[in-house]
Amino acid sequence: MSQTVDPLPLGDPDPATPTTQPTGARIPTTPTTWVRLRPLVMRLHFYGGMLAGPFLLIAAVTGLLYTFTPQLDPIVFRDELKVDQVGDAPLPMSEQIARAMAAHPEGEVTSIRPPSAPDETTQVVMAAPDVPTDYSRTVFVDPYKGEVRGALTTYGQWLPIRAWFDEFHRNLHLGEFGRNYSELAASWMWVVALGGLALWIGYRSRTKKLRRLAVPDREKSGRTRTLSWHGSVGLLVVAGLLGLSITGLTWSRYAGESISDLRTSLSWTTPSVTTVLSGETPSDTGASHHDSGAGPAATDALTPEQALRGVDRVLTTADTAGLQRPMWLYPPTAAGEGWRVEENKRRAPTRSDAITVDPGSGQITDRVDFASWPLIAKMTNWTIDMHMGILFGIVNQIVLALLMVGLITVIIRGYIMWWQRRPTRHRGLPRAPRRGALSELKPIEALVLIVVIAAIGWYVPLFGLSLGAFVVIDAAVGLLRPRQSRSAPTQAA
Amino acid sequence: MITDLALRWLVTLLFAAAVAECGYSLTRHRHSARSVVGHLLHLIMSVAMIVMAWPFGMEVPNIPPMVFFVVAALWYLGVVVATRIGWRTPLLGLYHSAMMGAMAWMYAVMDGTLLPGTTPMMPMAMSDSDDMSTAGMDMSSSHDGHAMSSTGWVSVANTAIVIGFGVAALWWLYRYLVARQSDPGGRSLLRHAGTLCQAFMAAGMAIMFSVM
Repeated sequence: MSQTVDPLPLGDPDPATPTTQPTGARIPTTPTTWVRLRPLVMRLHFYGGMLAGPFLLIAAVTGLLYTFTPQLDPIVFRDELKVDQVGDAPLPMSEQIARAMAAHPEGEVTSIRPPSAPDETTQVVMAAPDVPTDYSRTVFVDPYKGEVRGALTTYGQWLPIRAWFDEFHRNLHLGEFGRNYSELAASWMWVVALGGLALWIGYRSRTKKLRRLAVPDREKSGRTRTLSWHGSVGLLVVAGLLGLSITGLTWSRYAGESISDLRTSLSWTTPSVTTVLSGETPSDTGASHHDSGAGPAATDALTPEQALRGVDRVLTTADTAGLQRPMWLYPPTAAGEGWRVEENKRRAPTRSDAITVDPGSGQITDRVDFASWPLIAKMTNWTIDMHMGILFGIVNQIVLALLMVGLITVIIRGYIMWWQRRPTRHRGLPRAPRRGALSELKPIEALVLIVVIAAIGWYVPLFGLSLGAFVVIDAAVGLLRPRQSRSAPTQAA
Repeated sequence: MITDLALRWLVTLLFAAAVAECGYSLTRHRHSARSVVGHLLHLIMSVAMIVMAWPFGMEVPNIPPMVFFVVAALWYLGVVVATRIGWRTPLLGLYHSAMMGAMAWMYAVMDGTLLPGTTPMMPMAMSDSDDMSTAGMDMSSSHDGHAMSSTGWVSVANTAIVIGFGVAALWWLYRYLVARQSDPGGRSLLRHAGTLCQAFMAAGMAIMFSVM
């Protein structure tokens, strides 16, 4: 079979630099790898964009809203976060916790955040039966007066507004089912972005405008103009989108599991201190609080008084050991365990040193400094914090907001470009890249590509499933179409 | 049965495609008697693999299907020895014979009492233990109330089969791509679906043996 060049250019032919061969010209018999690959990349970019576009658009809009939330919480919840008057000396932490427990006896203390500044309140985080799964009740205590200033339903460190937008971005408040939307978006975003990048470079190269990769053709009109904006803005945001896609996948339900397994097998996991005290043999030996969400075995369960014993000594030890605030204190959950104290400064320069303190003696029994983390574990933390707009503060938020705006415009222009290809003489849907792109490749190239895509599809299941479904539907259409054309020959005339 | 649900569905879909292709080919095309037998054997094999992947497959006795596939393997060998007419190469006939033989082998391994070196290992109630969960395939049998351990030479043989069918899957897929490209009228999916389904069956076999 002779190889043919895809006659459909990415955009309208540039009159100044025609891309189609004049009539009668010989079609190259040995097309370059890119010429062979381009139709397939075009199909992946087109159908991937069409499929994932709505999900990406939702993720971009909800992500854009999320970028504004860090400034809202301190304003809306000022009463809870700040004290009215800074006193001479704070009350002992144990007394502050006791006040919080007295005000909210329904809760069980799971962590404590001492104030990071003199005018901040102490946050006592509780598990309570009437808060949703994965959420907590955080009680805010004035450290000087011991007055409880309020209680909020929080998600990790996030106060209600940020928690709401966080969940909106993650799952649209649709629970586990809703997570599929963001996973589908993240699974396809890198494919669509990389495909688009290759197509854009190829188009600029073909039209001899490689130096104008990031500059739209403002002098053009119609689809060419739309394409140039789609491509140049896409180029500007592509690196950020790849980062968001990868970090988004780490949180996802199915692909996240694959990434977690990969990190474990390559020892890229985030190191944590062991909470087991030396000489003790609790039932969950070796377990850290990271893993102890389900609580200890009933036989080893501690009463609240036992669990919170020695908190003042623990805090003093942590301060003396050089740990800086913001820090979080996690009480033991089983006999034979110590307190875990972790720095949690996520804004650059980050601090995440952690220690385990024996509440009886105040001795540090284990320590893991952020400096000793594997580079990949550090990178993972930093990229996640960048994704959340935390690492570089307001600059990070602005960059994320610009990325989201860029992504929104790229998606909308993608659909506009598709619409601009609609037939003008009769009704019908716009043209899509033609089938049979895989056959343009050499068999060995196609084989390698199929194996690679199958492997990626296995580890990124929503990508694999949606692509598989598309291939099946596409094959079915391919089977039906020739019959349709045979049965309606007059339509072609 | 395959304990990993995603893998179970993948294997099911691969062999279901093979069942569909064999059924389609048998009903829509005229075949020689030998070809009909070949298609039927592959169809039965695919159904057997689907059954084997699911929990209800554990209710199926091992010995009768094992004997059936031994006969099927011998039939292919006989065809290769008797005549090469209708076969592109004797190698192809040997491949099909090996595939049927692998089916018989799988039933023998699952039985746990037929092959030397395979030992009945644990009562069925323990089939959810860590040791079994790492395997991915629960081979505990309901008839004899035990699962078996595939250690030593059986594991080596299984690994060889996995590699063999993995390579075969790639080879069939390559053949399919070559056939589509070299056949000007071959863009129709059904025209080369048989080759594609051979790739599916080989991949399914590799997956099944890899989780044993």
